[in-house]
Order: sequence, then structure tokens, then C-alpha cells
Amino acid sequence: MNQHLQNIIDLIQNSQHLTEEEKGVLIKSAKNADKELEIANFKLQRTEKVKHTTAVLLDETIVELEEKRKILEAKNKELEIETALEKVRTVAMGMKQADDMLDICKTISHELQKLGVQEIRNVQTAIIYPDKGSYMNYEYYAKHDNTLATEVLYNNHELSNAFIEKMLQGPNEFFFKSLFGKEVQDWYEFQKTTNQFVDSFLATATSLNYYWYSLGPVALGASTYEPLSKDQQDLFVRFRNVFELSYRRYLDIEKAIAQTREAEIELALERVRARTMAMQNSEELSDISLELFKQIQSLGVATWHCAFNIYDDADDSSIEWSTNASGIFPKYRTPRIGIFRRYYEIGQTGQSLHVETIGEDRCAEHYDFLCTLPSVGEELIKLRNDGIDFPTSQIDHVAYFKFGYLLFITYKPAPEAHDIFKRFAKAFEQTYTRFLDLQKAEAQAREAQIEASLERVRSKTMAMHNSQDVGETAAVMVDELQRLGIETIRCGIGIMHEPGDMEVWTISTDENKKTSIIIGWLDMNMHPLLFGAFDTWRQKKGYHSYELKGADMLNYYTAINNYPGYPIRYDTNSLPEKNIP
Amino acid sequence: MKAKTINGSSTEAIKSSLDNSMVDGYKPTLAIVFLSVKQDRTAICQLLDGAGIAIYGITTNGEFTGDGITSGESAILLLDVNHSYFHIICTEYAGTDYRLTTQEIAKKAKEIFNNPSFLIGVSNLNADAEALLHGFEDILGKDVNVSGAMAGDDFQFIASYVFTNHISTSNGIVTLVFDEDHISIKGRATFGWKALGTVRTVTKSEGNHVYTIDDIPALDLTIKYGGLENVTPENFALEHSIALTFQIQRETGDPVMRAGLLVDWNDHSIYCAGPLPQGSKIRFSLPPEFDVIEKVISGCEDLKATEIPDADAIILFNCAGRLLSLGPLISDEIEGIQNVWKVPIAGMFSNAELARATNGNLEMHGFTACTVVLKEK
Repeated sequence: MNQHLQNIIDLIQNSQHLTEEEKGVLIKSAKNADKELEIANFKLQRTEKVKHTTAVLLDETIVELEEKRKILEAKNKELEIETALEKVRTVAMGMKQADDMLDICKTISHELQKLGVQEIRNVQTAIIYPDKGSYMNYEYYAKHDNTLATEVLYNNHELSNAFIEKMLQGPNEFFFKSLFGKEVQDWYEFQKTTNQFVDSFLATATSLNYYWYSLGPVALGASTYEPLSKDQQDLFVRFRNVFELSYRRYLDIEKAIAQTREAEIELALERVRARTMAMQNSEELSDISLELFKQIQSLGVATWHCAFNIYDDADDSSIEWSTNASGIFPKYRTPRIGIFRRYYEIGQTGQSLHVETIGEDRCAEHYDFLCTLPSVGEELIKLRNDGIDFPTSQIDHVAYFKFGYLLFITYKPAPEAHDIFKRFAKAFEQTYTRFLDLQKAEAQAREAQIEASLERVRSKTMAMHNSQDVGETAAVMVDELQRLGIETIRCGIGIMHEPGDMEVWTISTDENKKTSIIIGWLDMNMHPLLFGAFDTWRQKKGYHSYELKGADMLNYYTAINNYPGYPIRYDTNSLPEKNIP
Repeated sequence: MKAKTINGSSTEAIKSSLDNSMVDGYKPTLAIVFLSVKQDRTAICQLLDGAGIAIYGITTNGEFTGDGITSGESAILLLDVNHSYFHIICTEYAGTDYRLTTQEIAKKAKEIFNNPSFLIGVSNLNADAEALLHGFEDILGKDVNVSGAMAGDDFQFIASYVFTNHISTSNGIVTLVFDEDHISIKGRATFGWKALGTVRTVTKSEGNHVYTIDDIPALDLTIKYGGLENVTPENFALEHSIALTFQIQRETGDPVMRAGLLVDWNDHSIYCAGPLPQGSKIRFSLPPEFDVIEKVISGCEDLKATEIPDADAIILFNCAGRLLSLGPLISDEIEGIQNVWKVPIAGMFSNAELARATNGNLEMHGFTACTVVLKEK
């Protein structure tokens, strides 16, 4: 009980002036007051405790929430960064050619700015060509909103040189350079003297800062008007990493595409090569030109016409075999005039490929000229009459080889196919050389064979002692002719006598290969065949031939049958279709 | 049925009160006994048993009747209910299979009454009281009528007891089964504590032993956020745990309070009055506004208006934490509840309360006033 109230109760109890009832009421009131006081004190104490606990809980909760807010902020920031990186990744993964790096640079610049990196001057990539002392620079200038692809020389300034040297040291190398004050202006003035973009903001810039990262085959960099903080540099490194992965993927794809393309080209080359290897004679070049046309088309080069132009012994022309979509052209000669002369002369300089554009102003006239040429002109006219239009403009690609050139006529420029044309020329040269070598070897073998036959006949002739031996010699000659693949119906020796007779030693071979000799005379005036032969002998020409057929043949054999000086009689009812004596 | 309350600080006082209550021919058959561990439990049981009175007994952290609150004494509610309308089972737990224990009790009750309802007392702080409740549900369905409390031991947290005439156990359950076809039992549980601050996660716990919250030792976190000072083994439960209590947040239904009772000073973990499963979401909770008492009383007025307009007796299981939090105001609460039905009231300050929550689930609660109203039909 509260002491004061207790005192009051004591006083009440001891009072002589109050009735018991009054005392009871007062004491009860005092006790109630005490209880209420106790409750009030309790409430106060508890409230103070709760207040203290609440304050502490509140403070600690605020600290906790602040920490959570920071964590959340960091996570949000990270999410923003990841979103930005993903945007760059998406653009970079879509890269199909080097020029696509411009989009990547632009995206990186935009995303860095969104993440709070201000004062970006440019984001750029560089593909370095040490042999040329230059690099291909793909840039996006943020304040100018401008993309540029420029080939830049780097040996003309120590800053450029230093940057390239660092990049060439290998992947993961980092180059950093800050220019201040006058250094910026000097650099600005220097850039005005080059082919690089002149950034007008440099005129008033107080600093210029370069950050370059080497990725091996390419470098990624940024330049800023204010230096980047450490966090910002770390952020840029993350963009670099994303770019690096995507760029390597691009290179892998490029490589795979190149390998596939190379396989296609090799297959096409092999097909032409194989067809050429199988060639037995030059006439097959027509078929080979068709194969060439088909293979070039299969490589996606839209071609109007393909041809082999081979230099032969003629000084004023070459022989050409060609094909276009309408079919194979019969071989024809191209006179060494005009465009053909030009192509020939260029080839003589050692050039491997000549590209000639025949534009709309010249193309019609060019085809008018071609239509005047024998053989090829007829084919072209036939095409025109069949409704097939000639090109209104064309590009001639002349790929030279040792024995002439291959001609590929396309509708549009095809720089990507130049190397293919040269490779076809080279492949053809190898196989055509082999063909010629084989021909030469065959010719030599044939010549040896002929010489051997001649020698055998010569030997037999040298061994002749009497006229009887002539028949045997003639028989040997027939044998040798047969050995050389020359099938004869009859063979013989004719000794001409003026004024027009011929002593004839006729050698014939039966089915058992047994030769017999029949001697007789013929009047060389009784048929044009005989007269022609006698005339040729008279003129001391080495060779005469005459084709007998039809009625003329009948006349000839009738004349022989009727001539008494010649003992052989021929059955005129079973003559061959033709004879070529 | 007629109800009377007796209390006393000794067996002799109880005997005297008992005799006085029977002077008018009153013949009680059932005693709801709330007594301190300091009391001679055996003697009191013998006294009541000798009078032919069945005993539902539970030790406390304080006890009361309509005459006032005591500590270290006994408070008894006598009822002259028909023997055939109730049955008492007192048993030890089946090992740690608490659910099996009450399944067996429920099966037995079902054999006796078609429509049983239960008043239970649970000893041993480590017992899984919610598993005990689920055991009743397993046999009698989700709507089974169960109320009760976890026994206390005057805030020592060493050993509490439940008992009947001849059985007393510190590791068991006493169950008073009523035939609800004849005795109407209605209950209402109210607590009023509000949560404050951010949600935290129980990162390591085993049953009611909480090791870490948000990977921080449970005691260290409580001290930090409560600004608790001079925490000792002796004063944690009585002074500090009520300052900042754990409240389990659920996706559906009211939150449930879990007071910290004991600290393991080796690892600064806390033993709570009830399980705090690992992964639970909790918030800190401060003592409520003083108007929480009005809320409890108005809850009882609502109970009277809607479910049980008349009563023969009131049993109040009031959390010991409320005694510490509300101090002298607690007597206003008891008085206010009694005044709703104006019938005898007896009750105890318990370590935890077992009742149906507002969302309908039978659960173990803390800082709750669980009012149970009886009326013979």
C-alpha cells in the first residue's frame, strides 16, 4: 500500500470522531485509491518499458530496413546491369558481318549511359592489320549519334602506336590513356589531318580518356570526356566480356561457314577437275564448259556464260568452247581483235584475273559485234530469234591460265567470286596440262609406233631382191597399216607411166590374213579418181584422196571391170556404200 | 448443476473451505483443481477423494477464483454434476508419440459418450501440445470440442504436473471428458497482442527449442531488437520475454504467440512455450494496449449473446504472460469475465492455452485468455 494512504488509513482507524461505518467507507475508499494508484504506477512503468522497447525496435528496424534497401538497390542495380548486358548480348549474337559492330558499339554506348555513365565520347572496336599498319575502326559517337567505319593508319602517331602495340600483345591486355588540356587540343588538331572523324566537342574538352581492351582478334574500347570511376571501368569490363563471348561465337560461325563454303568450292573444282582428267580429245571441252557453267551456278554465282578460250598455233585467233543457260555452243574461233585482243594482251602481262564491265552504253554494240563472228554469231542470233535476250550490261571475268583463259560473264559484280574464278583457272590449267602431256605422250608413242612400222617396211624393202619380193613387201606394208589401226580393203603399189598409165600391184588380204598380189595396168584417164591421182603424181604432191560413192562408185568399178589390162573383176552388185582410195 | 469455488493456502485451509461449502448439503462430485507445486498435492487429492469427489487437477503459475488471485496456493471449482455425465482419464504420454496418446483417449471417450467434449491439462514443457490436439481430431473430427492449458510451476519451468485422484504425472495429460449431450461447454480464446517490425525466419529450431532466427542466435536477436538490458537466467522469462515476444505469422488465420521461457546460455537459444517449426515466419510483438481487457470481456459478452446465454460455472485458462504484462489489471479481467454470467469462476495462469482459434483450428496459444463456460442442459 502507498505509504501516504496507509497513514491516512491509520489515522482513520485511530480516529475517535468517526463511526465504524464511516471508518469502513473511508478505509475502503483509501484502499480503492491505493489500488488505482498501483494500477496507474503499473501502467506508467509498463508504458515506459514498452516505449523504450518500441524505440529500440524501431531504431533497429530502421537500420535493418536501410540495409535491406541497400541490398535491394544493389540487386536492382545488378538487374539493370544484367538487362543492359542482355541487350548487348542480343545484338552481338546477331552479328553476321564486321559492320554489325557499329550496332553493338551503339548499343553499348546507350546502355552505359542508361546506367549512369555520362560523358561518353565514343564506343569503338578495332580489327588490326599489322601488315598494313592500319586498323578497321568501328565507332559510335554518342553526342553526335553517328556511326562510322574507317580504316585508320596507326603508325602516324605515338598514341595510336602505343595503343596498337598493347592490343597486339594478346587477349586481356588493357590500354589506358588520359589527355588533359593542351594535350587534348594537340590530339584534336592531329585528328583533323587524318581520315578519322573530327569530334567537334574536343574543341572545348578539358580531358579525353581512352580505355581499350584486347580480345585477341578484335579490340573493344571507349573514350570519354571525363575519366571513368573504378566502378564504371568495372562495368565497361562486363560489357567487354559479353561482347567477347558473342564475338568468339561470331568467329566460330564465320569459320564454319567458310569451311562449308570451301568444301563446296572444292567439290565444284573437283567435279570440273575430274571431267577434265577424263578428257580424251579437245572436242570434249564443250562438255567441260557445260560442267564449268553448272558448277559456277551451284556456287551461287549468277552467270550468263562460261567459256574456255585456248590459244593454239594461230597468231590471230584462239579457239573457244562455251556454254550458257541455253546450252552448249559449238566451238568457234575468237579473232584477236577488239575486246578479244585486249583480253589476250592483258593475259600476256602475267595478270591472273581481269574484270571488265560492259555497261549499258556498250553492251548492245558488243553483242552486235559478237553476232558477226562465225559460229558463235550464228548461235547468238539463234538465241535472239528464240526470244532469249542478251544482257543489257555484264561483267566479264577473265581468269588466265597457261594456255588461255576462262571467261565468266555475270550480270552483276561478283567480287566475292574472283578468287573462285582464279581457282577454277588454276585447276583447269593443271588438268589441261596433264591432258596435253598425255596427248604429247600418245603422239610420241604413235610416232614411235609409226616409225617402227616404217622401219619394218623399210627393212623388208631393203631386203628385196626381185620383183616377187615387192608383193611380200606390200604385204608387210598392209600388215603394218593394220597394226597402226588403218583398215584397208585393198592396198597396192602403182607405178606411173606417162602419158597416163599405171602399173598396178594390188595386194589383198583374205579372211585368213593371207595376202596375195595381182599385177595389172590401168588407164589413168578412164575415171576422175585415177586422173586425179595421176595429176597429183605429176605435180609431185604427196597425197591424193577421193571418195567413191553412189553412181560414181559404180562407174569406177564398171570401168575397171571393162578394162582388159586389169585382171581383177569386182561384183558391182555388192559394192560398199563408199570407198576412199 | 451447482458450482462453488474454494481456495486456500494449505491442505487444512482447503479442508475447512470444503467443509464450509458442504454445510448446506451441497454434494460436489467433481473438482477442477488449480494449485501451486508448493501445495501438498497428494494430501489435497486424498482430501477430495475421501469426499467422493473426482479430481481434474493441474499445477499453475498462479491461480484464482472470484475472490481474488493467489500465488502458491490452491483454487478449486466444485461441481455437483451427474457422475454419468463425465469421465476423467489421466495418463502418461506414449513415449514421444503424443498424437497416439490422445487418439487412445479419444477412442475411449467415444466408447463412453456419443458426443464427448474435453477439458485437458498438459504437463512437460517439451510435450508437443499441438500433436496432442491433433490426436483428438484424428478420431473425432476437426470439430471436436477441446479446451485446456499447459501446466505451470510458479515460473520455475522445471516440472509441472497434471493429476487426478490417484495419479499425478509430470509427463502426461489429464483429460476431463464431458457428455456434451448433457453438459454444454463453450469456449472463447482472445489475446490481443500486435506484431511490430519486419518478418523474420526461424532458421534453426527443434520443436520449441529455437536456436537461430535469421541465422542469429534467438536470444541475441531479442536483446538487440528489444533493447533488453541486464538479462540473466533468472529474469529472462519473468521480465524480458514479455517485453518482446515471438508471434508466428500464418498465411491464413490469426497469428499465434510463442513466449520465450528459458535460455540456453551455451548457444543463446531459447526454449519457447510451444513449438516454432524451422522455417516459420515470425514477428516481434509488444505487450498490448490496456484496452485488451475490454476486448476479452466483450468477447465473452458475444459468447453469451450468441452461444451460451446462461452458465453454471466458468473456467479461465489465462496465460501467465498476461499476468506479467497486465499486472494488477488482470483482476479486472477476471472480474469482468465473471460479471458476464455472474457465476462462480476458477482458473489458472498457464504456460500455454489449448483452444480453437478464430479461424477454426485447434491450436496451442500464448498470451491468451481462454474462457470455458459450462452449463448443464
